[in-house]
Amino acid sequence: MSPRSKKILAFLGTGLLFSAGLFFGQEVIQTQSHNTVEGIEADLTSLEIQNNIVTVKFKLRNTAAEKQNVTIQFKDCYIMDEVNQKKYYGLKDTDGLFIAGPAYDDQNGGRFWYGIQAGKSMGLWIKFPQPADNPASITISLPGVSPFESVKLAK
Amino acid sequence: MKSLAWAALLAFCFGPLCPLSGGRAHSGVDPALQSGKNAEDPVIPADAQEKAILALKALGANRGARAISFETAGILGVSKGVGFDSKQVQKTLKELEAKETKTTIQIDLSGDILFDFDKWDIRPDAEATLKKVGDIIKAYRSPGVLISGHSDSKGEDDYNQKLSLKRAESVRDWLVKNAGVEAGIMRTEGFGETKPVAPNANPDGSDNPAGRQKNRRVEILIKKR
Repeated sequence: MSPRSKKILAFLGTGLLFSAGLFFGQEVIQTQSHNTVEGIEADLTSLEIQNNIVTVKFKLRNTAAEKQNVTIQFKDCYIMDEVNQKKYYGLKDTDGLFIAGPAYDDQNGGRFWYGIQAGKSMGLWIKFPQPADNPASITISLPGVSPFESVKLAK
Repeated sequence: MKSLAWAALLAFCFGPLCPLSGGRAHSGVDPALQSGKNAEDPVIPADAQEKAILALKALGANRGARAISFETAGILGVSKGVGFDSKQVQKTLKELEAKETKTTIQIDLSGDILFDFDKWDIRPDAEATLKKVGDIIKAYRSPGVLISGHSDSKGEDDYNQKLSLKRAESVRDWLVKNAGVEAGIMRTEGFGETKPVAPNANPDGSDNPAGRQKNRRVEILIKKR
């Protein structure tokens, strides 16, 4: 094997390791169960604040023995400032679509509607306004999923 | 070997293993087919943050904040201070003159407000009060509620016991039907005239209408989680 081929293989190996890290080594902040779709667990994997915008990422895992269809209307997702008793819905672009994904279609501003095979998972992300009163923590609500309570906001 | 390596690289970057499958992926594909793709960590489109900044500006200073309704608090379950610590809940507890301990909340409702004389149908005037009771039960995610009916001392003991039970059951049924309280957590009892909270008669033996009025009541004991 030529030195150049070795370099390419090493590069590919690094890429694969990085990819595997993304998929299998993800940190989970909090996990909640879906209340109506059996076996669906929602992991809150990331919460970032930039320019007063909160970006949250989830991983929806199907722990059931069969494929499960999951629908999440973005219009029903919100974060809540527990202390000041305020809630904030997802941000929408100028076309009226929620800045969230992946969206199967644009119904009601966009919705996550996917079948997740047994043992598989899918990611989900949504952008919200950072609460105006800068609370230390928030509650995140996805329809059908128990609320993610007391999620700390990084300052 | 060289071309094989490049093909593998391209497959890695653009194939199904690639995480670049986020965004608005609508393509008319059966959603069930999408599940085969490995999209655990979809990459957020590059313009998403820019769009979000514009959207945030359009919302103005309050950033689209909305007040949390009582109903929202109830639906969420409010297990960590969202509801029962809220000003709205505290205000309602005060309005209902609730007695609160570490483990329970007791709300006493006057029978004269809830029911007409000798009846057990809920009066329309009482519905707003009962709605508040339902809100409290839901906000605290109570695991158990005891509804007990009480009467004054006028009339036969047996009749008073039955009337007080029917009244307690009416309150329970109203809460289930109109306030969305789960039937399974509520228990009803009719105590008749056996547990007065005020004397039915004065020391000289004369009638005590004010005392009897206090005794005609429904007590709602809400267990905290």
